[in-house]
Amino acid sequence: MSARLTIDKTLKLYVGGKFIRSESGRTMPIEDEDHRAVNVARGSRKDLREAIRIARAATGPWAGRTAYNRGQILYRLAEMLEGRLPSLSPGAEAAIDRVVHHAGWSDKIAAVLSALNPVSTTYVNYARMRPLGVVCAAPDPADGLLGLVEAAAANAVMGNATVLLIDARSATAAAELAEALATSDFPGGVINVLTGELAELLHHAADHDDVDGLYLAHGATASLQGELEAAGARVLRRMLVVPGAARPATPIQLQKLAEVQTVWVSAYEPQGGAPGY
Amino acid sequence: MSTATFRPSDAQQWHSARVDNATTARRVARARARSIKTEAKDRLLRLALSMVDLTTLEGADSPGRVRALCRKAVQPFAEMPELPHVAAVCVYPTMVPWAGQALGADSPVKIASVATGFPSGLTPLPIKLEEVQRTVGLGADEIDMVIDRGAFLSGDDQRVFEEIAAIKEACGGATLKVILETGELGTLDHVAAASRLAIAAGADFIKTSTGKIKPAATMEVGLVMLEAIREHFLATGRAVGMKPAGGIRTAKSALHWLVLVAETLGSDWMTPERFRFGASSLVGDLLHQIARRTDGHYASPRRFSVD
Repeated sequence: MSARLTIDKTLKLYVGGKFIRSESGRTMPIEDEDHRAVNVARGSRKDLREAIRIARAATGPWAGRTAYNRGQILYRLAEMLEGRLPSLSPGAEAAIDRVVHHAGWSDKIAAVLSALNPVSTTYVNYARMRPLGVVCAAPDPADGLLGLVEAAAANAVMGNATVLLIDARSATAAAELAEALATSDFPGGVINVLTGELAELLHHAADHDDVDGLYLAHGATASLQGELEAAGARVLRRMLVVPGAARPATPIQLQKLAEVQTVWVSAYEPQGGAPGY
Repeated sequence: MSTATFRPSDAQQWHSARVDNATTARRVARARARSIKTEAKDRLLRLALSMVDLTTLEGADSPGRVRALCRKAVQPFAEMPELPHVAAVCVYPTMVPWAGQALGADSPVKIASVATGFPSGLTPLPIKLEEVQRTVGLGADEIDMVIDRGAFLSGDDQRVFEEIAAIKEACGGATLKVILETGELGTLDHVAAASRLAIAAGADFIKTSTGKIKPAATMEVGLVMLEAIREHFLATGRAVGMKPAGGIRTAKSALHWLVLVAETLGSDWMTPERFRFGASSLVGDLLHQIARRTDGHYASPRRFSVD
């Protein structure tokens, strides 16, 4: 009997809920864990623009869901990853547990971060969290799948749409996440995965004014931070630099993935009027 | 100007066109594949901006909305006052006086208005004529009329022709654009016949669509209409304009249209006098791309007004 030819998979981009090749047609060869050559789609500037456009369209509906529902959808992602566990890279259990960790935060984080501020007027002053919008995230390749889900889940919890910018060396983990996302209940466009040359993708992201935040793992992006900060200053872009994914984002870090909105409500009560809040 | 008269032999000739769909698609694909960069792109983006009929045709249109539209027509982008103004604003008849007030008497921006029972065109002819006369009286420089597609599709060319001719006369000095509503005509053969009919009846421009029906301005339909214009120009020397409308939202598709025009009719048609885009959101993307070329970085679409 002749040996069977294995069917190799080209690892594609995941944008708007669809697996697509780069519009540029470019691919990068990498070696997977078994030292086999794998072709990875190399995202271009146009791919990034398209992903940002789609992510922008996804922000409103995603942020408009209840926090409870977003938590359920995150938990469903954990279920999908668990089902694929035998085919995932070693150490994927930690990544699955991390998704569950953030799923649990979803309907609780608002209570932790929101505030009733003490003001000395006849107003009531609230501070509440609003999503940033579109965040481009560059996790550390050394963190593998865990780094990807930490970046994606932390942003999803805060109501942001994310474009994950992944170095081709981590493309296997990127594909693992994308394939789980595609079968989870995540609406298309909320989490997008672009693989390619990380410095190139980050450079284009910095040049794009419709990116509200950058989530950067120190290990992956330390050498680029000067450039990214200078470009971000033009549009007052939020930058969150995390040390890595060994520990989940703290509530204080999560707060940096949101805008604080203060709301003033008149506390004046006419005589005989119904008490308000 | 004498009214055009309908001759059955002409109608036979209009319907003799047999458009080759495959060749049309191939020519359009070639225009779409054309890459336009750097200075040529800068110039064409600005030219496209100057060709826009900035349009609002909603039931919810109000004087305030029309005023805002007119301000944008005169100066599309306050940050770059050197950019050209658009060709015209296009509004419903009752909004024409508000547009006139907002633009002022000697504005370079024309006022176009849809009349003749837009968008269906299923209104008795005397009412259509009255609507046109009143709209011109209110200050419209250009009238966008719709043909009676039901009559055309049931073979009543004479009725369609005579309506256009009568409306052309009612327009007086105003420019007449004839909307074929190609999305309802079904085939490219019908589009070719309707284009020839409208041109023969006296159209100054032929226009693809009302914007209320999908598909609207496809490039295949556009090519067939441009060819009808070319045929008429070669036969008579009269230059008819073209206005694709509906569904043109990106600068890239506007550039593709300009390629098609340049290749079919030549540079004489690369002017707002002879070519228009019926659009509103297109302006935002044109400004976005112009700003990209000028500033060197990719702006947020939120920097530009929606319409």
